Amino acid sequence: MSAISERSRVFVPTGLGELLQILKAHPDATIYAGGTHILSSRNTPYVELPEKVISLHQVEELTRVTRTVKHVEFGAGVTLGRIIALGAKALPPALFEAIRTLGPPGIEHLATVGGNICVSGRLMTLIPILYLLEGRVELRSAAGSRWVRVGRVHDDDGRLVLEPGEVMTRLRITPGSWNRQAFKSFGTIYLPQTNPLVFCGLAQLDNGVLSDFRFAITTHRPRMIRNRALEAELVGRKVPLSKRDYEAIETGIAGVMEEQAIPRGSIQGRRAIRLTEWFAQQLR
Amino acid sequence: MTVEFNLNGKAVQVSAASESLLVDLLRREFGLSGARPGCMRGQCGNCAVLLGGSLTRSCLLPVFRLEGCEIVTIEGFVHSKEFTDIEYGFERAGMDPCRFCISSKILVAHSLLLTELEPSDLDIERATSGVWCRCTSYSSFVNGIRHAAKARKRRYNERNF
Repeated sequence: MSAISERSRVFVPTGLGELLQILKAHPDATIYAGGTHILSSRNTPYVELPEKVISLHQVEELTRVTRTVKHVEFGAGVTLGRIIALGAKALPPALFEAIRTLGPPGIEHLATVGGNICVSGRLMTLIPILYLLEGRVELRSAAGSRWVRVGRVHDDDGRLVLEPGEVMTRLRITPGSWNRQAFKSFGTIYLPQTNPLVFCGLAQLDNGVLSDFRFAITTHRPRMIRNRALEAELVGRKVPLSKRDYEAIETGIAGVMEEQAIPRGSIQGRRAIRLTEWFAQQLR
Repeated sequence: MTVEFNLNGKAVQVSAASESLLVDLLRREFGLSGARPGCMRGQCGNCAVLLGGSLTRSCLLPVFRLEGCEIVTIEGFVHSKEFTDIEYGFERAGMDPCRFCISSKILVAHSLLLTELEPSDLDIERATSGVWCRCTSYSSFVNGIRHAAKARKRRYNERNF
């Protein structure tokens, strides 16, 4: 179904096949999922839609949630409200917390998983936790499909890696069996002056020994912050961690933050260090 | 573009530019002014409506999203039994919101009680975070929701017997 208005042309496909055909014919069209980012980041009281818009809200295939023994799959058009309705037990606690804190009620019934991942220029709230949970997204076009890691959906400059005519259709995560999970969010990614920072941590303990440890941090900048060398250094350590381990955390986090031009003494730098140390303290 | 949807229980059809937002359409085409245009960015919460029973911001709903949807505004909601619970709760708490945000506060309370009849402090805090207007004290809003929850539970229990 399509409609022509004065300024923009809006396509409302009712199935995945139709969506892919429209995308093939109009690869330059803007994908409209929940619209919360497009509409809430405008600077005018009226809406200026792009020339061509494809609204996904009637594509039933994008609203499915499936669960297997190892994976959970969400259609890209699944709203955050629907995921919350699944309940805290159905999801990894850190992911559930990330979704719950994403916005007030009223936003969550519009905002979609795919929209949160595919916003260009910003790493939105769900990206770090999905990255740690080895999330992969399916990108489909009329020519076929490919799976991409969540961490690779954006390049280093924050641009989407989607080819013309491609659309994100599914997200697959591996919940795993993590003993400790944490998600903390500060500020808003839309306002750099609030010093936004999202911290996610996952840890697995076996008989008091850290057998896996992962953390990821995002700010308003387009790059994810993760220190794999530090993670590897901490694996195998006994908990509670020693003073030397905490020093390694402070040095390791400060190093990766400074690579992103975030000084150790800045609010974001201090938050990142303290949050990682706080998470390490939870490992008992 | 022309879309058909259900508004307060009645099938309606409207022709508008695809950029038009529901909050404007309600006022311009249907004379329903309960959903107030506030920040127009989905943040202040004053333009709340129910979309398919779920609380939504009408300033984030362009006309092309409305096809086949079921929209309930405060004008439709006041005729429901659920409204009487909220009205009772707010009155019991001595809560008297301003005319600008009252519709949103009612719909927020209703939306919360739809999912949780015994909401925790955290549930209430989260639900009320969606309305920025601080015309009433926060504690009276919380008490209003608690009284409304009791009223709704009582009504459900009476119905079951």
